[in-house]
Amino acid sequence: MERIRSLKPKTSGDIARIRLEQTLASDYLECSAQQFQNMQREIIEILSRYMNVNNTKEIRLDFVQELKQGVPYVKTIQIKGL
Amino acid sequence: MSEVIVVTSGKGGVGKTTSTANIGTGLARMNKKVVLIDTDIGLRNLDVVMGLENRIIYNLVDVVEGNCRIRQALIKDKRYPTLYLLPAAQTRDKSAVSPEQMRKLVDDLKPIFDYIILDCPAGIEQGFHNACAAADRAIVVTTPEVSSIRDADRIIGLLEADGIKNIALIINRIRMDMVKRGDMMSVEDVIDILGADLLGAIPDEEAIVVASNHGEAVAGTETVSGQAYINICRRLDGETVPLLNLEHPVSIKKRLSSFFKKKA
Repeated sequence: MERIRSLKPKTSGDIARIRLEQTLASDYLECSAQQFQNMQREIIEILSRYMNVNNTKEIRLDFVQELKQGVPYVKTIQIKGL
Repeated sequence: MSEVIVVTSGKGGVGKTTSTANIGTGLARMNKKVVLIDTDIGLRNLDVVMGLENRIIYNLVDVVEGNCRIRQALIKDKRYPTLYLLPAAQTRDKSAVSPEQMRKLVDDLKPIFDYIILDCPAGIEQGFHNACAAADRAIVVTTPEVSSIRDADRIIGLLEADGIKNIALIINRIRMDMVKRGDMMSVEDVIDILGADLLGAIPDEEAIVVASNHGEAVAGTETVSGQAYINICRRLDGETVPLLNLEHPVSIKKRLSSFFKKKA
């Protein structure tokens, strides 16, 4: 399915979703969208030094910040697969 | 047991006031005793959306400052005997009321009403904190646009920080034709990104504009949005209602004519 999707040209709805996800991620991390993209690129660079991530569809990063009513408060940042 | 619900969004113009009026009307149609409180002091609008603007004598600030009793400020909607409005003041600003005063006001209304619905102003300043102070649960209104979803995400974070755990989403102004073409984010996309429960989705319909021109609500009328608002009210009341098909029923005549237009 992903493959079929990636062959199709991106619709404006897809673009909106990608932009939104990137904006939210950079809001959470309190860095600019450019910095966030750089970080994504660098993390993939570093990971690929030690392992093969070419075939990995998705890389997610969980930021566990604090406990809220005994539940870990997690913000997930998507590194690859946006 | 009365329930206090704040309707909020962060971004302005997404349909907080319209949703408040329609949810209030829908609940009143279900014979619930409902009071709608406009907390947008200085920029009140819920009164005109409901068509009650000519009947205002006292307002929220008068009640809080003790210039009148609560009962004097409540405006009864003549169309629905169990629906009341407490309008905001127009000549003051948000600092005229404090969160403690809002809590006290809501506590005084709790014995009288089944539902107390607070229409929150746009933004995250004092008006937002006043409206949220007294609420048990929140409805976050958003449209399928990047700007309003970003604000909704921020608002959900602030509500959680305020200790409001029951947060549900209304996705407003969905256009199924654009979603189908891929030119608008779908309801699923929005829920996925915001990670909140869906209370309902409202299609972008002319009927909503026409109704608010007349100072009426669409809830309960023979429109898709009217039905969607009724479903939202039933869900608020604890019923499990399946999601509505938001597509307009297209008549055969229209289908044929659009088919021939394409050919030509």
